[in-house]
Amino acid sequence: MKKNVSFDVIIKEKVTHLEESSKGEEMEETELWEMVRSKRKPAWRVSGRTAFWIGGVAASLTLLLIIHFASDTDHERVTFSRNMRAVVPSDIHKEDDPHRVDDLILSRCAEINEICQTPEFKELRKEFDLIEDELKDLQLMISHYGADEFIIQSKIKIENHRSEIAFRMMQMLMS
Amino acid sequence: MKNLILLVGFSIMVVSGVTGQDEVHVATRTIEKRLEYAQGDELEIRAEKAVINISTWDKKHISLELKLISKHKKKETARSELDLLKYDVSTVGRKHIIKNFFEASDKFVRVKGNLLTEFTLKVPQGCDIVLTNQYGKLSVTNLNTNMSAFLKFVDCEVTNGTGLLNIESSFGNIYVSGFSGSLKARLERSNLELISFDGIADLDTHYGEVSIEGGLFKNLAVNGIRTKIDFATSRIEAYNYDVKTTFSTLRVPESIGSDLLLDNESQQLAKNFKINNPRIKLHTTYGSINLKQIFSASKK
Repeated sequence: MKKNVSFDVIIKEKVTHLEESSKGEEMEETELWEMVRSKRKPAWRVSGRTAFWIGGVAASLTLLLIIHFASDTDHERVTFSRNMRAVVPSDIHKEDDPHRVDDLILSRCAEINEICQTPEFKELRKEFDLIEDELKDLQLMISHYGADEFIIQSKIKIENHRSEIAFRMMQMLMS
Repeated sequence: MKNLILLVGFSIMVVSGVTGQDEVHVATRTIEKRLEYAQGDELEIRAEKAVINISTWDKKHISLELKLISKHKKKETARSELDLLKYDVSTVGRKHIIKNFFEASDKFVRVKGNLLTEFTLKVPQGCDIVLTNQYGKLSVTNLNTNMSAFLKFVDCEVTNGTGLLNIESSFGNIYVSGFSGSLKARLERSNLELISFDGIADLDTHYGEVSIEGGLFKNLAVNGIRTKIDFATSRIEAYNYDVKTTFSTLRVPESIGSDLLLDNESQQLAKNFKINNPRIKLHTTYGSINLKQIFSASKK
């Protein structure tokens, strides 16, 4: 019984001691957390009102930048692609020799001068000479812009027109 | 015999055309611009070797997309020659000026590939346009303003729209369809096709062909030299006619064949159906005139 009493006393003392020691540990832990919290504090702190204004200005600036880039239509860019291109004849750069036709007309005019002096023939002759100027302009365009379908079409028009004029002149000289 | 051989030779003279296709690298510089417009502003386009597309819209600014294009088999050449093709956009007084041009440090530079410029323009209604272009193409749709175009070796297509249209063309093909207003054209070695035109047309032509079909003319005058003229209408009796060709032939519908006057040099028709009818004047030399009635319900 004695032993039992002493055992109870011992237990009671131990429990009491444990509670006291636990209280002490709890205090230390609270202090520790306080210390951790204090270390986690930011270097600067803003009030809620200031944060509202800063956020508002930042949002406005972002919006303005988006509007600026969306509304500005002045753009310039270089892109590359592959495409098919019409192959032009290699002799497109060469000028035809108008002197061959010219020589024929001149020699014929030497034989029948009266036709070559008519207003109609003179007008055709003037047109024939103008075509030579057009061919020179065309050669300049080829050197600057290269030969493509527009140039070929233009040359065909000139050549066909010159043929028509030469044909009409020859018709007159034959009649 | 010698002359006959020459004539045959001239008549079969043909320039060799496109012989096929090859693959090339295409370098394209694209420029997009917005030009502010106020009433009374003008737009001037100075182009060469260019494809131009124009339309009018209901917004208050001019929208420009410019493509400078360089083509060559080698990518490096296409890229380097792209820098020879320049453009400029400026405003002088009330006039916006857009131009493209070739510029090289050495004037004897000869390009190895092809250079081309494409203009795509949207223009406010009422913004007058003055345009020059050579060796290219012009396409105008729904024009609702006045336009003057000075073209050389340019195929031009004007589809629908209204306003004053002034065209000077040399070595071009001009196609005008569904346009109403006023057309003044001075054509040298060019062909004109005028379809369903309503209004006043005044045409001076020298070497070429004029074909007119349908429409509702308030007045039409064609003064041609060495020009072939075709005029077809479903409303033959709605007009009065002054038609004459010298050194060529005039064909008219049977119903008015008896009014045809012939002499050694010329053939002409003077016919007034009603005193207030609009006047159709077709005069030419060394070119035939064909006046005919059409019966298609789809044509005016």
